[in-house]
Amino acid sequence: MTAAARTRLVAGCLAAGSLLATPRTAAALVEPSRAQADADAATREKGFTFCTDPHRPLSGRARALCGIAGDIPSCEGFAAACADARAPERWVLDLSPATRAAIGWIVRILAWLIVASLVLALLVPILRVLARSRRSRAPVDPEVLPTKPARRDADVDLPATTDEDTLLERATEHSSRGQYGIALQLYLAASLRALDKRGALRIARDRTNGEYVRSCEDPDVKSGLQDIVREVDRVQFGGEEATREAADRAGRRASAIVRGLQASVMALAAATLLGCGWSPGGERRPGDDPAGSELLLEVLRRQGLSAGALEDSLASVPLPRDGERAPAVLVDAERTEMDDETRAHLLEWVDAGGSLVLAGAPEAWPDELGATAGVSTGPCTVNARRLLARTRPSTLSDDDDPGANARTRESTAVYALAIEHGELGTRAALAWPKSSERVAWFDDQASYAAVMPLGKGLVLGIASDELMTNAGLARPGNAAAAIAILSNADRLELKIARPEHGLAPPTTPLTAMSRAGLGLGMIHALAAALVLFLAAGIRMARATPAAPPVRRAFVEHVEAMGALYARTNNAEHALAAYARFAGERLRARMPRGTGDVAALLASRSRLPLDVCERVWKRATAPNDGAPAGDDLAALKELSAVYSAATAQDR
Amino acid sequence: MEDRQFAQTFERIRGQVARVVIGQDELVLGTLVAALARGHALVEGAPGLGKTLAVRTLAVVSGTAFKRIQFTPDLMPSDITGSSVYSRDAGAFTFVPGPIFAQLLLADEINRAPAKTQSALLEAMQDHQVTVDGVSRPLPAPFVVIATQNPVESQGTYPLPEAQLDRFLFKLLVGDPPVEVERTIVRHHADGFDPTDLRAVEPATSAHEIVEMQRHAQKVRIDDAVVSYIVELVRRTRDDKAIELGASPRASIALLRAAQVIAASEGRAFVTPDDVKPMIPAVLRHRVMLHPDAQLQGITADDRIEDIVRGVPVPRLDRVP
Repeated sequence: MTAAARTRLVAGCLAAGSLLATPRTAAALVEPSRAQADADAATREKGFTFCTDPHRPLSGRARALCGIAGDIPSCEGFAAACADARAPERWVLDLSPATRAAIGWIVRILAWLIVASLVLALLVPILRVLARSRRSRAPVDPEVLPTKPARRDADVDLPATTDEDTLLERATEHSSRGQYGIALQLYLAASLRALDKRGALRIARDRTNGEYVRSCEDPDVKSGLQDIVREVDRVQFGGEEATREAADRAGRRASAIVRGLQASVMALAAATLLGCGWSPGGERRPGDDPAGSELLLEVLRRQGLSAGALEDSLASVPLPRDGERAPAVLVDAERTEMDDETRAHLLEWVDAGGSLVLAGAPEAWPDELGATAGVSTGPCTVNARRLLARTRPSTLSDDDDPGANARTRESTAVYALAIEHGELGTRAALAWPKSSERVAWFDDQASYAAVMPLGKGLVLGIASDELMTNAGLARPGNAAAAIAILSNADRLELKIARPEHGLAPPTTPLTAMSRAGLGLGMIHALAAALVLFLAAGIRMARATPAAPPVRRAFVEHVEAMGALYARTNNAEHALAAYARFAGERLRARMPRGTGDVAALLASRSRLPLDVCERVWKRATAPNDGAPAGDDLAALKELSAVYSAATAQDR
Repeated sequence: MEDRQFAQTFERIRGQVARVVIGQDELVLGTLVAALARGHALVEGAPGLGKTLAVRTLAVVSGTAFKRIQFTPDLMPSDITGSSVYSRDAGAFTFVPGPIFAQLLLADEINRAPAKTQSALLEAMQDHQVTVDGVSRPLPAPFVVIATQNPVESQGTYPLPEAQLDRFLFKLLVGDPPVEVERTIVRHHADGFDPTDLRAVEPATSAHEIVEMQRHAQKVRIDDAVVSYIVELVRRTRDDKAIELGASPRASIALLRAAQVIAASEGRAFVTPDDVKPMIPAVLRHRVMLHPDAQLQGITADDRIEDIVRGVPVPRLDRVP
């Protein structure tokens, strides 16, 4: 017996022994040789249309699979969709590069214009309200003028009901009872309420109907409002009898104004709601996406495995208890973006005994796994081996366990001799530490898939997610290769994670809304609430009490007196008054027995006595009624001297 | 006269005057409304703003007999009313009518004459007649006085007595025109417009028709609610702490007359609060006397009137059964 024959014999014996010793696993169930038949049958029976009539437009991931569309039998629909996705519209091809660049600029400018319009739409109501509030401030002095605060907009003497719908209903009731005059008034009140809410006008009790019409900022409803006002005025002030025709006419106008507001609100709401859930290309059907995973699930089920979508977030997958064989979890790392918390939990889960299948670019895997991307230089044929059995030392307890790695190193895998071959669209390969075990490879020996033990569990890494997609799996031979690779997960049950499972459960409602894609909508709603508050809410606020009366400061009194003198051109009187004021103040400071103001000025201001005498004499010269012409100059001079004289007192 | 005819004639007069007096729409409207309301207007503004031109043009367009009195400090009452002069041929005193015997009288710079002379207009403005030497002589119809005055702060002016002021339906303020309007005015003159020659201006109506319009305006219906609104507005001027002397009932009547003309000018046979409100400042501003403290604070009559108007609710439906 040769050495090679002995080796094969030992391996065979080991495999047979292992199969008998190990529990029933996926490896024992799956049969890659019938995987292709299962895939074809599933496509046919389930009515998957990813090949014949894929959903259009193709998603980004589906377009990435376009390279293999021609290699899939009976997949003309996918190929045609790929051709359409690649080929731009005919008229675009006919345009010159300069024209295309110009169109690009125009589109950018339009986009910015839309953004600017939105910003303006938000700012204008706020600025308008601010301007209104500034205009409404009356420059009054509470000492002189009435302190009663101006009544606010809420104090209007329209009917107490502020809901325009109720007013409309009541107007219709009165109209049906033949009370057309009251109906007209209510129609007007409903219209004004609606327009006030819309910000098109401002209701105030001192405003006339004509002022409402003139100040209405919505040109579309202005004429309608004018018609209503005309009818109301004719009845209320003209003493004319209200007629059914007039009431009906006003009713139609009022309904258009009120419902116009509601229609615009509903249109906005509808646009918002549709904008959240709308997607181009019509309704989606299961299995119509070439990049979907419906076919994989069906093939796995037909192979006898229990396969389904993961129900919870990856971050909340329960850790397997000791000895428990929890379902394997398949994560397409390119579709399912994982946050740090999820990555950490997954590694902990694997360490506790979980089986994790990671497909997709290794850059997206947790860094702790140490996997790096590589590229095969050979053909795109991938060779995969099916796991027959993986032996685990079941007698080893945790107390005996010197380390998880030490224990897993003792586990051995037995593979089927038959190698399954698949064809890929890319040459994405995988480089992993030596502790990993290669289960799929290219012809140039570059790894495509490998198993790495980690703690009590294992990670099955696949360099791309092509074999997990409908289109990738439909390619002849690929279903068998995929099944062979996935058999290495060594589980009877497989759960596939969805894209949203990569994020840890939200801790707050705000986080939940943000993750649900409603973050922008939430910001819009907050902004809208703020605008509504500033535009309408503030005006509904209670009037602030008037400031308590304050006494006018002496300086203001002097300034007011000065202004009065200036208005009346009475400079000589101003000079005389100031001289009296200065004289009284200086005499109060005089030593007993003295009476010369000029001498006091000179001594305190340290100015020459003759200057002070001249200034004082001019200031106190008798006023004969005729303007001397130099009164203002004399007043300024006296002020300067007096200030210098009293500087030490201040 | 029908409502529509009144509105058309009104618009025709206003349009003709506005073609000559550029950028002074309020002045044109005010003088026209005052004339049709059987009232008189006091126009205040700095010299050179087109006050005199507006009145002269209105006289031409309305087809009324126009006279102008330039008020000076040495003007005597008899220079306005006329006087009895001894006629040697007749051997008796005969009355020589003064310039007041006109249909549209322009009292230019009225506050340059002393109060004695100004009061010569009192009887004429109130009763449309003049009494000289114990004989009352009626004035022609229509009789409208449009007086202009420079701001009271100007030198050499005499403030008008309250009794005189109260007889003016409106006090209109003329401000500086905006730059665009001023440019248009200058361009108008550069193109050959001569303000002293108004022959190119065509009459849009006649004195007879003006009288008809005055009668028609008086028939315009006014609801009790609007009357109450007017009265409340005027009464508030008497209760206002910043106003020392409020407006008299004559102000209420003036407001009523003005609103009737405005309503008629829009072809309506009834008055609404919207007709009253724009007229309030012009009717009240010269009829209220501010408290000295308010004057010292720089508060004007227009400021207080604006606040008063804001505090009076417009008549509207109060309760719904």
